[in-house]
Amino acid sequence: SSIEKLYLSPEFYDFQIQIKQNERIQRTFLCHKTILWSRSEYFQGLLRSQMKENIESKVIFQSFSVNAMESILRFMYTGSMEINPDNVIDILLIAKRLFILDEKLIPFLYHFIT
Amino acid sequence: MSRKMILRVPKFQEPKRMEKSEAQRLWLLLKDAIVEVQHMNASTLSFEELYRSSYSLVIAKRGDILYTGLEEVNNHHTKNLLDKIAQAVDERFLIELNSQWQQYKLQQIMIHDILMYLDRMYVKEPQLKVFDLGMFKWKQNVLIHSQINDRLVRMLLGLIHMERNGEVIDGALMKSLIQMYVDVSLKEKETYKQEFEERFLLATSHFYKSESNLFITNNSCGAYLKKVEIRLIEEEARIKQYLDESTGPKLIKACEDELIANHMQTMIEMETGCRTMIQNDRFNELKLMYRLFQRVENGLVHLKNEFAGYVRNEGHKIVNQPENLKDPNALITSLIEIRNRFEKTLSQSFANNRDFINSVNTAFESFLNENDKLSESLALFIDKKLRGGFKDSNDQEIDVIMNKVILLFRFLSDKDVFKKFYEHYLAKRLLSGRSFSEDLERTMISKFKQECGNQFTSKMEGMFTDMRLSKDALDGFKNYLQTSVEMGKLPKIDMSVRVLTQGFWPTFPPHSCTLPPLLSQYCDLFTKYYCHAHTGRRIIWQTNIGTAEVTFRLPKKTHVLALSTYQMLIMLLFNDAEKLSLKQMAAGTSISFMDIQRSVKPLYSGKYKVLKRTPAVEKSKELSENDIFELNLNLKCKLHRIKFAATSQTDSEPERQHTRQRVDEDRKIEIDAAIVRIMKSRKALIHNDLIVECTKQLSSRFVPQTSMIKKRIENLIEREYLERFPDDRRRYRYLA
Repeated sequence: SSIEKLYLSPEFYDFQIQIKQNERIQRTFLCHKTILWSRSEYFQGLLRSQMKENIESKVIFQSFSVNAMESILRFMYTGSMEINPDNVIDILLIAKRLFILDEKLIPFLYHFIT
Repeated sequence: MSRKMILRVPKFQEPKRMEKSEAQRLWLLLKDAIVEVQHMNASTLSFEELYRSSYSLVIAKRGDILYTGLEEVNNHHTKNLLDKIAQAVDERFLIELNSQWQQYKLQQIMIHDILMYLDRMYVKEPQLKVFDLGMFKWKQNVLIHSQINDRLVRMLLGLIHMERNGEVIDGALMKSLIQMYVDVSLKEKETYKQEFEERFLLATSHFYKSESNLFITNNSCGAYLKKVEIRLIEEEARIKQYLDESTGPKLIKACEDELIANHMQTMIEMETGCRTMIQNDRFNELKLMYRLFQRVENGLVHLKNEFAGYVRNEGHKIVNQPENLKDPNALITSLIEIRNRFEKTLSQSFANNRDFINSVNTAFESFLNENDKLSESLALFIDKKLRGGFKDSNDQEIDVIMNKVILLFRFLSDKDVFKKFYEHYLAKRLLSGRSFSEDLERTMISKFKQECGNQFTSKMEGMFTDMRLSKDALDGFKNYLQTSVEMGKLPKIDMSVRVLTQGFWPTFPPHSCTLPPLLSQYCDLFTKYYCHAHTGRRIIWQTNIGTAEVTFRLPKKTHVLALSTYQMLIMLLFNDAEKLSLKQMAAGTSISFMDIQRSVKPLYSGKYKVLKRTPAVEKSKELSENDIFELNLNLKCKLHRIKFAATSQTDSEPERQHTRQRVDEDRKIEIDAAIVRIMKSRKALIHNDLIVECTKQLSSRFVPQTSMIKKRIENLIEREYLERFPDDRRRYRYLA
């Protein structure tokens, strides 16, 4: 779909997500506030706060798995992602922490782990 | 995602237990941040860092430190705010309170957002959610504090009072402050209801109680109604502008109670009130009154009763007015007029409300049956219309009038009396050839048929059939005369005969008279012809309702006089006499003296006088047997053909009595039939039940008197249709 085209594309991006590990930037994702806002309660809070991240349009996550973050972003834009034994736990952690808005996602992920 | 796969995954790691000191460090970090937020210094804070801290605490099962800490911080903060707000004076108070409140709300949202993980994963009932906790602290420490609450409510109510008196106030400020009561209510808006709404409604009732009392004493009812309407619109707007919508129905109810319900009686009775409005057809004011009264319980009942009472009263006046009692046309015309007028009131003011229509109809029913004149008057009214009164109306207007007639007819309780009169006048119209249009006659009859069914109109239709068949018979008779042998011997006269089937037509009182020999011969010829063509039939001549044309030769001029048969007979006598007394006329014609009187009257007292009384006695109207008449040879008239009324226009009292008697005769038969029908199906019945049942069955035609039913029952027992139970005299048994 046309929203899919926006995923990780630099067109019209207005927000950056940086993953840092040991004070080193691992990866910068270019994103769109509207998508983030509509798919995550964490971002809803962040984007209505008057704090640093909202002013700078950038958030830095420490010690997130880059691959898992990418999967989560893909899911936020497209509604689908690939899950495998190696990334499922990292994905679950991020999904729970960011309150990704999808009532089936968390139960589904738990299904693999138990 | 729907495909089920089993994957082997590494074991989910339990988070490490957190040292208490580490937890304390994280809380202090958050606490500082919250204090910064409360001082509106959020821009240097990192959302993610704070979120991560609270997340870590919750993951490490240290949520309790966070939650109790938050409670303390909020507590402290709100207590500080209270002092700040309470210090503000006059109108600064509301502005300060509002701006602190608006900020506080934003802060609480931000605090909720960074503590989102705590809110979702840690807080359990009966603990308050993070945001609700903030609201609760505000309520506890600020809003319902004795230094705030009463002052705030008084000021809000004061502003509303000012606005009701026409001043402009800050609606946005009102909305924000009133909404605060809703926001801090934890469930079902309890704080709003307890602290604000209740007092507001009380103040509203109070305000409108004194305003309405004052206004209604100094203004007309119409002005008051308009005022009320405006007030209600204003209050509706107030709800939208700054009250919680749940207050809407209560506020409107309070206003309606004070403005409408408490003054209904006054609005009806006051000099400029409902009564006057109805009297003067003030449709718009009544419409407004209807709309407003509709809003309160039983409001419309008051209005309806008042209106129905007025209708009954007006109707009562009309049916008892002496002029109307003498003039059926005026009576029915006035009735149609008020009916139209009230229908207009109903449609323009009372939205054609069914209850109103019904009560007006009930009123009509009661006054229309107040006296027994109406049946005949209505029949006479139609008679006049169908004799030519419709001449100048178009089809649509005629239809309207006919429908109004049907409407009035519907209210009559003695429809059988009306029917008798209607048949009577219909017969007269047909026989005298005075009916203006057969089409209209039939239209009218079809309307009665629609209303009452075939049985009601079968006789009337029979009359029309007779008229048609008579024409055929007459044509046949004329042909017969041409071929008849006897014809050659007789001078030709133009005779017209109508054959009326007995039963269809009203029975005319039998009168006898002596016809001139020539006419008598013609009559015999017709009888011979007709009875030959229709064997088994018998002809009875009814000369008293016939008409004739007579040539009247004056010295200089010749006229044709259109007369009744009786008048013709009287005039013919003058061929052999110059002067005749009434007694002599009666002797010469065998007509009863009363009929002579009635027939002679139009001949000497109308516009054209063919007879004159000698000696002339102008004033005296009563005729005596010995009054003498002679032909008026000086008659001056430009017309060639002069038409004379057969008798005076309306029926004489004896004729009316006769019609009444026939109605009573018919009623006996109808009651007998009803009793037999009922008893046949029920076999046995108690006296009272039989009376009730019988009255019910007959009510569509007339209202039978109980005494009459009793007599008929006795009669039926004598005739052995019924018998009394030997052990219970009040019960009857049907005898097959």
